Amino acid sequence: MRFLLQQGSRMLNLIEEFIDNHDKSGVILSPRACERDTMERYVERFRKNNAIILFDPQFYDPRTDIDKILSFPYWERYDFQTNTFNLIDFCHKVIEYQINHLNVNSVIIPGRYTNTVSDSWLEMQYKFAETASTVVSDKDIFSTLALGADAILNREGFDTVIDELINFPIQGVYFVFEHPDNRFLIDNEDFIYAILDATLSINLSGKSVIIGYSNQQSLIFAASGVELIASGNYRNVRIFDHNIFSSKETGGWQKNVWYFDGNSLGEYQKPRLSLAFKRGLSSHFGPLTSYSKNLLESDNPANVLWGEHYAFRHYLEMINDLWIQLEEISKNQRYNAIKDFLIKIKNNNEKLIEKRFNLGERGFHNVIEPTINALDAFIYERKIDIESL
Amino acid sequence: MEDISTAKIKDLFPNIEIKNRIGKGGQKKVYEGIHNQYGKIALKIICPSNKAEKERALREISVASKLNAHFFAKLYDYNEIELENKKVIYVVEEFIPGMQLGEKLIKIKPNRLKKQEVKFIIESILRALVITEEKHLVHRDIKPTNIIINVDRIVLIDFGIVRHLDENSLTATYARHGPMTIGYAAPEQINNEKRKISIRTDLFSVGVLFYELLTGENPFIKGTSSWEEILNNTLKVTPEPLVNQGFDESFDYFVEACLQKHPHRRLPSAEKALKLLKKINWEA
Repeated sequence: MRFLLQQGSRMLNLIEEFIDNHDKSGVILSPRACERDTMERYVERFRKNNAIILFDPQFYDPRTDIDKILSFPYWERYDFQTNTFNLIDFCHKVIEYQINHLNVNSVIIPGRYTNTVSDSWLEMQYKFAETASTVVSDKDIFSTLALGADAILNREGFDTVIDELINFPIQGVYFVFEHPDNRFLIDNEDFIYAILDATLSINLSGKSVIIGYSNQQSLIFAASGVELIASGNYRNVRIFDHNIFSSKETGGWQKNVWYFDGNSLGEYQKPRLSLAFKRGLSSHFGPLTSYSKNLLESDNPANVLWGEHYAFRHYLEMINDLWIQLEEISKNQRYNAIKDFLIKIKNNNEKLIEKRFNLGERGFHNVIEPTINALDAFIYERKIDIESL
Repeated sequence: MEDISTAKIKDLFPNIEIKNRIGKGGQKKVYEGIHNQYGKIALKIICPSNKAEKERALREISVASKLNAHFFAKLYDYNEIELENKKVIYVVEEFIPGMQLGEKLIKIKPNRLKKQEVKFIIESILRALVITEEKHLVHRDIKPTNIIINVDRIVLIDFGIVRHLDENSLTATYARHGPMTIGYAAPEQINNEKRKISIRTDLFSVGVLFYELLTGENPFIKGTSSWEEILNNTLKVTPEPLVNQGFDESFDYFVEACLQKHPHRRLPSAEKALKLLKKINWEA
């Protein structure tokens, strides 16, 4: 299992530090987050400790006007809105850039975002995969699967996507998806079920799955055999939103500092944490990382200088720890571990609520039931398949 | 295709002594004979009526020539020759004595087999599919009449609509249905969804066969009076669970895993199907 860093804005030093400190981590580089020259300079610094280097071509919106994305060389000469766009040629250029300029470990091929699956979209997905399979022979190829929530909730359409994808001449799928109502944590159990169901089928077809733009809720996808997730610093790299790849005019994310709690999977700001500590609830929060030690061992977290720098590092460390520890469990039994983990989270949240701690807007309590229900349904429906992983 | 005289065949194939004509259908004639080198053989003479048929016939031969295993008829020789001013293709292959499974089902009453016989047949077909899967082939026509039961051997025959996954499909993209046998074909064959064709397509047919051999009835044909109903059943209806007919629930696990309407939820490989088959409680 591997935890990868999804590159967000101003994250280069954090990536380097993380790779320094962790064997077998990796990064998914992002044109949106970084100038081309800077990326090419940094990529050599990331190549250590068995880190995986991947590159997201960000073809989500071919009509994007974001200069950083368009500054990458495979966009030169192309205008998607005219007849000059040659899909096969474009795919060649994307691959050529990744291999010759970044020396990636595996190639992520372009994939257009859609919220409505159509024959033409499926045809484009297949053409990219087919093209890549004819030019890449010594690296794994990952298809980008970028879908909106409606496309996933349309069961027949989503089934068709997966039915085809399992036969594509590729070795893996880089799966990024929007959440229903754009909520950071998913409370729709049908949606969670659909992702578990699809990722299990992809895994059983012998292809790897990378869930991009992950957050703490994505840990449950270990139950369906997913071994690679990627997350990052700001929220816009912990949840996928196709709009941020379309236009410069996109809203920013609140940049307040939040502490992520591994025991309850919620996020809390320091004042709320202080209230809990004053009520004697400090033992409920944890586990500690080297970045959260000062905060959680203080009598009053509000008084601790604990900014974004620590919050990001602590979050990534925590998700990494929770993810990597699943490696010890055999792949076809991880569903049990995830179920136990969710029950533990549920109990911790209930204890905090019982003691009148307000879990707030970023608490996990609102999504724990649908998450467990989706997992239960998934285990009930596909237990034989899960156990054959 | 008109009859060919025995004398004409003798002229063309001096090494073969023709015994009987054992099959005739469409553009194909099949004779049983003795070859002076290979012994008992089947001689097939195919007269394709158009380019597509010829291409399919050649593809079938090309496939058969690669399948040298216990579960397939050995192919000895093939070529294109001129017969009565027409180009025809001949194939000399191993003669498999025995009975078509389809014939056997008609002859026995009730039309179902003993569990142990079913186990032997399905296991053999899955072993055959392990080999075709390795070679990226999808048979696309697994059904009782394409299975020969020898004394100790099950042979999968007729690769007439085989699909090689690395080669272009021979079926027109605009065709409403792909090549198939109604009642055994998977939903993706019915809908001519070419990119969904895989080993899972054959495993769907194996599921139908398994069900039919155990119960004596094809789950999608049972009670129908038109091919539209059969297609509709295949696309939309889940067969009645075998547990309702006195079988252990492990039989249903196998059926469900094969007969999922969407290929991605079906068993992913013949090997996995064999593993699941082994988990069936045959004694129950």
